Amino acid sequence: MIYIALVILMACLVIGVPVPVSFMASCAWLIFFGGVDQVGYQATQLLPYGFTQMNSVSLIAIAMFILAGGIMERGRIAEKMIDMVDVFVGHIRGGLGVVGIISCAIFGSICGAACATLSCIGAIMFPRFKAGGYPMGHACALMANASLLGLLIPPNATLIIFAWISGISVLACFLSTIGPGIVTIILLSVVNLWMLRNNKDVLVKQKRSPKERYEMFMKRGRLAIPALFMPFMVLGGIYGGVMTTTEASALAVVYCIPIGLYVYKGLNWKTLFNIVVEGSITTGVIMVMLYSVSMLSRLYILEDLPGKVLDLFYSISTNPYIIMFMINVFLVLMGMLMDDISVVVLTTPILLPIIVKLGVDPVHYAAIVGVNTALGCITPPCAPVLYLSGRVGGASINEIMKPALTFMALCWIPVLAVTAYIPKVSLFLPHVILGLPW
Amino acid sequence: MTQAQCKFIEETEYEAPISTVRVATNPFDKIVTRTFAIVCFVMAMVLAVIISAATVMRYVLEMDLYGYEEWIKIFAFWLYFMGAGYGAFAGSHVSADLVQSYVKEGFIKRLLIFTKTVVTLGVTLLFTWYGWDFFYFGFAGPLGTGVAIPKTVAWRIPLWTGYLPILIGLFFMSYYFLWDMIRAAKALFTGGKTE
Repeated sequence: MIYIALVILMACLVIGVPVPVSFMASCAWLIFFGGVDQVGYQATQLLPYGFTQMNSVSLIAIAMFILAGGIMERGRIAEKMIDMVDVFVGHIRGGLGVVGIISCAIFGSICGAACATLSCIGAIMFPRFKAGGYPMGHACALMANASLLGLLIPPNATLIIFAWISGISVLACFLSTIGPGIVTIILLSVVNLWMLRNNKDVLVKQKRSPKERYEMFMKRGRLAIPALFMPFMVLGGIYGGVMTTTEASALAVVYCIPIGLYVYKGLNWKTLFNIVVEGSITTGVIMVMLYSVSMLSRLYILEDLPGKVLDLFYSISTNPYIIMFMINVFLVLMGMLMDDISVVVLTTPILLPIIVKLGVDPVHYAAIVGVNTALGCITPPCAPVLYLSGRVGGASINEIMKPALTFMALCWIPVLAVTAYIPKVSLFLPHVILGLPW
Repeated sequence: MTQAQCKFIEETEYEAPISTVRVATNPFDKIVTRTFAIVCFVMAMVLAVIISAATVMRYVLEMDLYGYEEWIKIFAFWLYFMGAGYGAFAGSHVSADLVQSYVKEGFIKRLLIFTKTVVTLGVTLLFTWYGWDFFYFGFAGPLGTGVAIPKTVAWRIPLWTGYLPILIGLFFMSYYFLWDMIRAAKALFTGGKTE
């Protein structure tokens, strides 16, 4: 029965049935034919089970971070951040690319979504890239890759969902992806500078004296303080143990509304209304997916799907490193077909028990999932971030593909390998801050 | 690089993207989507304000906002499922869309899209029915007599207030998926272009 349920799920996904409805279709098969007389299979038990699972305060953080990200995206906050970063690295060849990468990382620590980061930072950076003589294919590929830092630098919705499904600390999951995130920032910056080292079309700004730079820093810093206070408040509040993730996310919303309305003046009440409604739709779409996957994962566990998948892996190899490799390949392939959140909700209930049996720390696995889902967002055929980057930056997919593959090969694959096979990269911060073993 | 180019690079204005939500054209859809939008906005703002107030009270005033979690969970369900219902109208529900992207225009593509909409509608209708059972259980209690209905612990809020948005959300998802199916059927039988 479980194999037919899986076939139904895959068939529905392939023909384009919405992901939550595909989960429900697989559920429906198991409800009717899985264990008619057995406890736990009836719809009268599954819907209350889903409700109980969803009746969680920590899930509200997803809605709040989505709203805060939307408000910040249109509240002109990103401009001030970019100007601030530009003071430090804007004057070197390819430095504008580094400005884009670091700005994406900072903005990612506010909104935690790749597309929002890309459309916000990209909309400001692309005209600057064009004026600076950058090849637009390179610029679009770079910004697509950099915007994924929003999925690694916490907070972000994907990791909250992962923590909710796996029952581990949200804070530990957040901390686990910071190490891989920092490695990615360094690699993207180095590869960007290396790729542009001989490109004479790229214009380099005139060097400024230390005094001029200090004055610029002070001037732009004053303007950027309200914007930079937001990640300080959210991350400081969470990691300082002052607030829970949900509380920090709600405060972020309450803080960024007046900043957007009255300080940076990028918002008005009508725009705010639209942003909240759009954010609510995004939240609703995610939550229906979570509701349906909570029912489906219960049925899959009743059918012992994780055990069957583990047997399948063991039939190929019993070496944990090879199984880990297969899991990574599986996650990348799933990421090529689906969006990041769908991959997490679909694979976590199946793969997490296997990971635990292999002796891998679930917090380490959170980092592996974070990097894989980020990579999935730029690997065709389903590469929403790459396509969006081309559209915002005005480059064709042919122009973007070569530099994008270079960034993937020289940045993301090494980061994935390091994250998967050197656990200390992701477990260091959870160990230092939360005292988790490593 | 000239000063003028530097100035251009540094002072390029950022234009905020416009709203991406599909606009309703007929009166019924206008009423429904407007209602969804207002409920979503109010619930989102109420959630942000209540949680922030509880945080400030706890850490600054060292007071407790009694049982606030029970309220915010109910409000959250309204936010989630009104957003989901609106998402069905806006066509925002996530799908792999391989057919749309990789199958050439023609009968096969139209047939696959029609099949997709039939499956989507059928499954959503089934779960709407389950949603009705679930809501009725909460509203009428286990015996169906309105006695011993499930309630929250502190404020004694009937839990059907949280079950109701699930039913409404699923109902409107079914309704808008029905229209998707009608459009796909039209395209299939008249040979029109698929969306």
